[in-house]
Amino acid sequence: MSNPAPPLRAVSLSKRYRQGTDVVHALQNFDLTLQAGEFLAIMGASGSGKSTLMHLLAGLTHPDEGSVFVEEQELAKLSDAELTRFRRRRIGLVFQALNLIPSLNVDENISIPLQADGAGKNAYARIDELVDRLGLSGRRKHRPYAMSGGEQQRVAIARALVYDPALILADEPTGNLDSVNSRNICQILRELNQQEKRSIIVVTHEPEVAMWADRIVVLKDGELLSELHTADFDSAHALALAYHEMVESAEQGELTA
Amino acid sequence: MKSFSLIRKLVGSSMWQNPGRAIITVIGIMASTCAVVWIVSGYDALVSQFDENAEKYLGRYDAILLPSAPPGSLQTIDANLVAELRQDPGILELNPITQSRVSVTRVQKERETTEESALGLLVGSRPPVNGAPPIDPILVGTPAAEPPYEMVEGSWFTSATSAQSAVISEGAARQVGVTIGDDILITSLANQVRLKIIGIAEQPPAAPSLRGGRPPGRGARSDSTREGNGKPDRQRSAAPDAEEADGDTKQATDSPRLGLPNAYVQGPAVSAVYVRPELSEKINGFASTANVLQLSFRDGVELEEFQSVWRDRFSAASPPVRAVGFEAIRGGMTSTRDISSQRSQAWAATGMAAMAAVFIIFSTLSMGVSERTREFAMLRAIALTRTQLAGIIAFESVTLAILGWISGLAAGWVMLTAGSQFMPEFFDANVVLGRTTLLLTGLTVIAGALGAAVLPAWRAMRIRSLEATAAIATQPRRFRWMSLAIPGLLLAAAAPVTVFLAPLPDAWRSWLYGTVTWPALLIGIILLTPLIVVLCERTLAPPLTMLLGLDVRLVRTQLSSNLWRTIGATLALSLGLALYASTQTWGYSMLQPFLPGAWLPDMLVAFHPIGLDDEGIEAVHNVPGIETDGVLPLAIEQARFDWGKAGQPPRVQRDNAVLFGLDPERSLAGESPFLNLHFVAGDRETAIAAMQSGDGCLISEDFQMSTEYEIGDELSFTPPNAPEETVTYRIAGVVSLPGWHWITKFSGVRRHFVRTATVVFASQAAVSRDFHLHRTEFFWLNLESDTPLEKIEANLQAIAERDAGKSFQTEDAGTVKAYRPFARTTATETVRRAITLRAHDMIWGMSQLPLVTLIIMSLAVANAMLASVRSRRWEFGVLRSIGITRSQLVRLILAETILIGLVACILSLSFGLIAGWCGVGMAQYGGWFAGPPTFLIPWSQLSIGFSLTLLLCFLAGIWPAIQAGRTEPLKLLQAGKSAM
Repeated sequence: MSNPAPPLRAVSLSKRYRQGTDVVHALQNFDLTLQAGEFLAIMGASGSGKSTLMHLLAGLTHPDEGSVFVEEQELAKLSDAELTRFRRRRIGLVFQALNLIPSLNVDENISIPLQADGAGKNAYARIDELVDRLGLSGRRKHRPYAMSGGEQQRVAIARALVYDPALILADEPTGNLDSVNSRNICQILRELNQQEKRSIIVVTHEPEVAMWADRIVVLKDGELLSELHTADFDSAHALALAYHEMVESAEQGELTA
Repeated sequence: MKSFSLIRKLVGSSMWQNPGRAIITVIGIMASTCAVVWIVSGYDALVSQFDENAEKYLGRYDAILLPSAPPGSLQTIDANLVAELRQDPGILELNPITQSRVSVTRVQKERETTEESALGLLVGSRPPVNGAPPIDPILVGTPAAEPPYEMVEGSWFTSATSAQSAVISEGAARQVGVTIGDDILITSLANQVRLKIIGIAEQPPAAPSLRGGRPPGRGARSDSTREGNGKPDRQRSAAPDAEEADGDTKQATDSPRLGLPNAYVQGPAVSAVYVRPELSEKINGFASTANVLQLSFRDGVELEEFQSVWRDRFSAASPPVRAVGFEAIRGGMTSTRDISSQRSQAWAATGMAAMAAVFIIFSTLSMGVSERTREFAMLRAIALTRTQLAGIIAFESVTLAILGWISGLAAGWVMLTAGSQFMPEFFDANVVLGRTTLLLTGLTVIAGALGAAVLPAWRAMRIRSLEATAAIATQPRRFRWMSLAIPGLLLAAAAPVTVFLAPLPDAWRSWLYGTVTWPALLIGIILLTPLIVVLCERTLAPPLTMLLGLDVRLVRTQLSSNLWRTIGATLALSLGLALYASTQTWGYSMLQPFLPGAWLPDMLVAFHPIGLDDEGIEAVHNVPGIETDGVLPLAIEQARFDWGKAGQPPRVQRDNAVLFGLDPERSLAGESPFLNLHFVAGDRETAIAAMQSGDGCLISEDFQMSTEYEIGDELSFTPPNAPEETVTYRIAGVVSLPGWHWITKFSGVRRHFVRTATVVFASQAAVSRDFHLHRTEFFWLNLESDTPLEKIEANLQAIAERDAGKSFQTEDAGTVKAYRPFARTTATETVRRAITLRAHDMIWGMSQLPLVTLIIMSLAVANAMLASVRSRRWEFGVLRSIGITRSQLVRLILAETILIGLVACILSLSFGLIAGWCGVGMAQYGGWFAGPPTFLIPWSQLSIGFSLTLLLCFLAGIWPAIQAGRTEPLKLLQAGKSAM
């Protein structure tokens, strides 16, 4: 029996930005493969290229070089409209903030991808299930301003799941949350991974969040610095120490080089 | 579209959550729809009432008989034909009416004052003249036993009625300001009588166009004289009325013939003063011969049957006549001047409203896109395609438009209904919301909405999904915006270059200006807007903030940091304001060449058509109040040009000139000549010598520019009294004659034609001789400053009346007996006052629609300020937290709104000056004025528009300012943060 195709593959990704007259290499020759059912965290300091990587993986921007494959579909080969439809159905996105349309209630926010697709009524049945599962049953008619940050992120996760995507990409999903709500969100993502075998990538700079993943990719200056496995650490604190040590030694190395 | 329900939900919920912007936009569209309803409903009312109006026009008659003649001619119906018709047993009643043009004024009661008007000053109770528009009621001599229309008040003529009685139509009574028992003065060239109003008759709402001729005042009245060989038709005038000649036949036939000012009515006049035919004869000085027959048929007789019986006879009559019934009148109702004027107004209002809708919706959508960039980016990232995002904008636009349209129609209906009750002077009770109103308003707002959505939709489509993750830090694109100024300048410069510099044929120039460079000017100014915003901000923000007691740093880049919003609001305001500024600038600049200049003596008096003998001339010299040596006798004739083989120069639209014969030495020579003329070409001494020789003449500068004649060229004329002759003068000088138009328009010197091309000066002896003028009819007078004009006029009138009872010849009515000859005075100062008054009225009239648009457009500023305040809540919260007071915050917001107003003023001034200047320049190619362009900036009038703009901006900003000022700092911070 052959292995299923990986839900995501990134091959030799490079991305450059221009800042005035300088060219900044946000990402250089980066490769990544996410296995089916894997929970991956991408860590790195500010400016390390983790957000750029996330944007490229989601097809929000195009690489200067290299390719991104989601379920073996090369994103660059899709037209803008095709890419939008593909992302709508196959990639669930959760952002750090401003995830929801303020004028729509919970149900309406969750159903945006379905409505954009003109999906039939049957598709909407999934919303009930998601709302129950994410503990939002009592909040279905509430609008975002009447909800806590944690609740809003749960709505965003529900929306990301509404089409049963191949992949969930979450960009700093706990960045605006307190520790209790952060933990709840991480718990939800972990459960989705474990119970539904969903493939998840989370971008974060918090070791406590990364600790919920199986594997951690550490970026520095747009390049892969290291890969870590959370199974090797017995606590978030240990991971944090290892991470800091790794980053500092890399910086030391740069200084002495 | 599959995702329509999502789009509908997103738009609906967004409006529901942020109702302020939607409400303001809907109010704006509602207001512009209302404006269109107001104007277009009048047109709809006219259209819907064609049948009713045609029926009302016929009154109690079934048909009318009209002589077939070109417009402007005074034709009568063959008396033999009238007699034959009387024998037709199918005709129940035949009513021959005589219609003539007179002046009608109310006899003022003691100590009564009336509002000054241009025509009141220049015509008033003086006889009508060719140059003045025929706006007074028409004198209708009628023998009818019953009134033609229902009596509203009083009674129709009976055998017991006094001879000096008149019945007036309802509208005419309103116009003249009379009611039953009041006295009116009826003045013609032959007489002035005082009549008592005994009845007021219903007035049909409209008169049909029955001959398809040009409307009054547009063309020369001389069409009748153009028939055949192009020479005056002297057939009628060669047959003087023997009875009326009264022993003056010899004198009368020797005199030059005069063209009677024409009524320009094609059927029975609707605005009328009815008198008995005998009185009509007494007023007009000539026999009442029918020029319209009103017919009632016996039961069973149809118009078609009547026509078939009389067809051949009608064709054989001289002139031929035609019968006009209901159908023809109804058809004529569709092409009246009222209809075309209402249609033009409807189009103008529709255009303006469409622009208003475009700008209001555009500013709303633009602000919406700016505010919701991250929301749209998130939608792009998770679900929506670019087309779906554009669909949101388009749907929002159309939704706002439809809401505004429906509420505008409802408000318009309420306005019309209430207006006709409480303000009948502005709202006609008959106006209706008809098909045209619905169609035009609907098309206007929907097309405007879709047009307005294009740019915001394009912007929305360009939003990158990446922007969902974080606000993308972008440099303010001020410099990119400002680079638009270069093409903007080039485009804006194209219009003046076309008008003033490009060596083009007139037709090309007009076409290029109208279709290319004027629109280019508009686009150019729009492209210049960012530069003007930035420059205004840099220069005006410091003094404004200082004035408001604020730190300049708080508003230094507020406008340019939100250029989309600022440009949207500024352009919206400028739509009305720029049109206002250009109308005012153009109007007052165009007025300058029409204002009587310093070259004119104080007064022109016409003793025409009788003229004065030597004794009379001497009497004029002795009138108190006239300066010693202040009398310059003139020989004046209005004659057609004889262009010869060269043909009429293309820029000259009129075929005749008014020739002023004067003593060259007295009028031009010396240190203080009678006429202080400025010579544009040639010199005074040479010109005097040439004129004295009888050969030379002076022409006006504008005429020279339109003909491109030079000194030494010849100018030939055909004398009206001797059409077989040709009179030729050689141009000896070109002089500047500002104001010649109105001086000749109302003074009676336009003896034959309504319009004229120019004034030509030659020697009095030559003009008298060449044009066969025997008696002196005209004088220029210089007055002593302390004598009232009325007193001088009364003395001159007394001199004129010495010739009472003499007769004169006319081209249309033959011999006319002058029961009361007139001394018609035209004081230069009065003309100056009248034209200024008229210009004020006209320019103000033209400015009303732009001002209404400006007021509507201030809603766009309110919208911009709401958006500004909304987007800066976090900033305001921080400012309030660190010590900015509530009052300072309010002033800060007001500073921004006033700055927007100032930018709009400067933008509008730029457009107004250039467009006004070009408009003045183009006038010389339009054929109606060819003088050197004069440019005047009417600062006081412009300041009214600018003050209104700033006030509206202030008002637009005050609510958002107070709202922000009253909000607690914490709430500002929370609201601002939630929007981040």
